[in-house]
Amino acid sequence: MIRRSLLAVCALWLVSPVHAQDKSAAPKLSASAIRIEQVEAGDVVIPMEFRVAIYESLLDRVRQLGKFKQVFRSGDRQAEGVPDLVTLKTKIERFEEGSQTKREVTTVTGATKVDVSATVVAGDGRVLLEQNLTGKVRFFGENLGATHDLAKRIAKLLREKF
Amino acid sequence: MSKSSIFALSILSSLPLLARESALKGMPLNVRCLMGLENIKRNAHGMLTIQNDAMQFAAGQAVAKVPVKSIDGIFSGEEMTQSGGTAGVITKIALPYGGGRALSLLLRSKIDILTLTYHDDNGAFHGAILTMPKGQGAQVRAQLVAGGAHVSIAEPLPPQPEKKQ
Repeated sequence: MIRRSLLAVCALWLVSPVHAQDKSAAPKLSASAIRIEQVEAGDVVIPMEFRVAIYESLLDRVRQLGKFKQVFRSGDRQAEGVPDLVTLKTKIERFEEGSQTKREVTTVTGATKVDVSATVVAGDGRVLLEQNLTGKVRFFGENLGATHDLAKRIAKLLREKF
Repeated sequence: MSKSSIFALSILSSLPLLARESALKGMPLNVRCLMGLENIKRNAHGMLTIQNDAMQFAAGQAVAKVPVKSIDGIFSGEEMTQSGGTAGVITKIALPYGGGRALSLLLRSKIDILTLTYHDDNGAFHGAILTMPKGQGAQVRAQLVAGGAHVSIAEPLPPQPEKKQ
């Protein structure tokens, strides 16, 4: 009996307008176009293929999202003059290259990890969004798989915020 | 010997040289495009050629062309990867008593990775990653540079300790 009433209270709380308000409280950002900048490495030593893989994977993922009417590459002159344009900047914070063979043989060592800070900037320079994210590959797959994982996480963040 | 026969002989003698030149220029190489070339799916296997000042990658019906002069960065590297493809992965999972792990040690192969960066007509930045059997990366790189690809001062990369994979 007690269990039933507890369940009923929980269900009521979940569907209550107050709870629903909490969920939708954070206003969503809006932009019709996004430009994805090249990945900055800073002082971190990271092979070029990883930087390019993050950049290209991000372009693919953000296009698949369908949140933006236009997705521009870094340096694209067509983006100039687009009024509602935001820019996604990615900077490598830490990179740890693992080993595919180690991963497959030991299952607990050899992970590849890449930490980045992703920032979305408005046309006037205002920072709209900033978050640190990690991409990793733990078991099967090539080291570059970490870049796909990272792009997936950044795309998820954009889907939630836009 | 008449003048015409001398002319004919000189033409014939230069044919092997011409053939060698075209073979070098049009060397079709079987490579894998990990990503980055327009109209080409990820991990597509195809033939790479360098002809008429353009690098061309053809995978079935899909063809991508990149003007060599638009390439402004070539970064070469090498990696130890697992060969065997999907069948290899399935076999590794299916083998009992840790046999898959032992197989991982046997199915290693070294590959060259070539990362190209270029700008299109609108100034947009592109990056393409190609993998090929070991030893062929340097050959492709040399041909691209000979064809007019711009390579930054930092290239070639200093020799690195062998990457573990």
